[in-house]
Parts: sequence; C-alpha cells; structure tokens
Amino acid sequence: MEKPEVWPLEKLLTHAFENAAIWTRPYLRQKVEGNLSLPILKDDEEPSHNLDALIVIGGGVLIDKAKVWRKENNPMMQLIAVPSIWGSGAENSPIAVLNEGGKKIIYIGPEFLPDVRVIWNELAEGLSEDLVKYACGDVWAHTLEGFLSPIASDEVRNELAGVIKILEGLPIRNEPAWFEVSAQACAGQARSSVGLVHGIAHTLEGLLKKKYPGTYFGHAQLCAVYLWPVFSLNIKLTDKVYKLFNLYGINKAKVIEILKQFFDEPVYDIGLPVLQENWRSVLRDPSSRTNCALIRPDHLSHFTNKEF
Amino acid sequence: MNNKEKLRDLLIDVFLLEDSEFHFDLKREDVDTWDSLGVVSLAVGIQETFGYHLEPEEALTISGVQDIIKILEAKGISFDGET
Repeated sequence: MEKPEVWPLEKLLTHAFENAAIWTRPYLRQKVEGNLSLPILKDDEEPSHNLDALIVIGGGVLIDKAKVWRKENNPMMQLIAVPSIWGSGAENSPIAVLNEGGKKIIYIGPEFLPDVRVIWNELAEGLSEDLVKYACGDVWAHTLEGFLSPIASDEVRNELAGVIKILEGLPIRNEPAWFEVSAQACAGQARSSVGLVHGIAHTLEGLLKKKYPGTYFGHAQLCAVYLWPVFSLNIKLTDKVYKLFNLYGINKAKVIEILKQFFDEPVYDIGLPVLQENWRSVLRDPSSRTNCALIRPDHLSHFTNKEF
Repeated sequence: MNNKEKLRDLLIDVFLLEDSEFHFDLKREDVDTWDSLGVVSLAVGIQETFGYHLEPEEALTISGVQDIIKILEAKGISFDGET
C-alpha cells in the first residue's frame, strides 16, 4: 500500500507554499495562526477548487472530510494532513468515514490517502483526560480488531502484533508517542478490517447524539467503552483470539488489564437501551460482519447482562 | 442438535434471516445479505460451528445452501441425507 510522505513539523512550518490554504477548527486557529502564515478557511467555508495544496489540521472527522472533498472537487491538489489528536489515523489511511444524515458512509481507495502527514505534538496539549483516554481506546480498537480480523493477512497481523506490543507499554495519557502508533495502527487496519466494537460505535453514535442532544457521545469514546465488553465476548466465542496471541507473542493478561481500564460503566449504561433497541442494526453493520467471531442475535444478552 | 439444525441456525444468524425465510434450497441471489461480507461471516461461522476452515477458493464456488452442504459432506461432516 502507498503511504503518505512523512514531513517533520519544521518542514511544514518553513515550506514555501504557493496557492495553499489551511482548513482547521476554530479552537486550533490561534495555535496554527501563530505558526503558519497561510490563509485559514472559516469554519463553514469550503476550500477553493483552484488550490494547489490544502493543509488540514484537526481530528479524524475534519481530515476525512478533506479527503472526500479533494476526491470530489480537486483531485490534483496536494493534501497535507496534520492530526490534532490520535485515534482515527485518518492521516495515514486510504479510508474516510463521513457522517451523513446520522449514518456512517465509508469511502475506501488510494485517492483518499493524504499525500503528506505531519505530527505536531503541541496540538494535543490541553486536551481533557477523558478525550485522551477515548483517543487511546480508539487506537486499541483499530489495532486489536485489525489484528483479529478474519481477513487479515499474515503480513498485516505481524505488523499489528508489533503495534500491540508497543501499546502494551504505552501509558494511557497524553504522550506524543501515541500519534505515530495511531498512524501505524490505522495503516495496518486499513489493509484488514474492523469488528464489532466499530459496528456498535457506528450504529450508536448518531442515535445517542439524537437521544441526548448536548451530551458528548463520540466515536472514540464508544470504541473505548465497548473494547472490553466486546473482547470478552470474542474470547468466550472462539479460541482463535488466544491462539493468535500465543502465535504472535502477545501478553493476553496485559491486554485484558489495559482494555478494562477503558470501560466506563455510566456511559455504558446510558447506551445500553439504545444498543438493545438497535441490536439488529449493529449486526448488519459492515464492521460487525467482519468481526473475528460470528456475532449472533442472542449475543445481545452478553451486553444486557454485563457478562464481562 | 444435529448438523442440519446447526447449519440452519448458522445461516439464519449469518444472513440475518427470519425463520420463515430459510429453506435448504436457498440461493445466494435470493438473499441480500449474502454479499462479500456475508461470505466472510459465513466462513467464520462454519469454522466455529463445524470446525472446518473454508478456503477462499471454496467460498467463491458457493451459490447456495446445497453447495455448502456438499463441501462439508466432502470433509466428512454428515447431514444425514435429510436436506
């Protein structure tokens, strides 16, 4: 798979761009303005179709939006992706996920891969502990589900096993090392698939936001919260998980210890009625259908009875 | 539960069918969830239920339930001649 060129931050900040602009979020504007002297698009403004380069600085949602925008409007434009937080790995993935009408639409193809990615550690400074924790959970979800996927090749499994071993030693807190690990995790997972954690997150996110307007429910949060419940179901249903762990030298006790740290019972309990009402939609989600174990309708009881 | 019943339950769950929609002459083209992702789920389910690893080349030859039965019977998994 092609990969984006990796620029050090200094190159981004000193590069002589011509006919370029920045697409970022309002809360990052001040930090960006102080370092890059290029036009910054307003929050609801779309890039010009004539741009030669677009620097998108933000989370996975904005980066994916820019990836799809480029494909549809200006495919020759250089796209430089600078994540403000880890988790989605959108800056290093040929996959883009957009929310359209409360549903997730997934785009896949080399045209969705940015040309360049840059790690800018300072962008993650000041993030809340919760957001950091959810982002770390998102990285774990991509890595584990990609590793365990029934369509993962030996090569991808080997790569992701390496990522898991790094993650085992990475504390769940605001550490710059998470940016690169996240990028590697998503590059591997993009050549594999995800599983039930993502099936649940994709299904529930829009529904929870609608049911509880004004309350935060995000993709990374849901992935983090459901990591342990889903993993515990997978190990109950199949011996494949531990066989793969043994084959690739992954410390299962350590992984379980870490996954349990992401579980948030109050958030889980809020989501549970929505999960129950929409379980068939979860089963139909493309991500759920590539889970490492077959998920059946009666497996809902694992979640409703908290059998983990 | 005999193998016939296991297969029936498996396919109902894999393809998210209602009980009334299933019959042993079901073809892939009759089931909208029997797509490429459905084939992945099917392979996972066959492994879990019958202990048989379906090769990708075999999965491509499956056009209906009877093809699944033929493949499994060839591997010594009996369906008691009742399908």
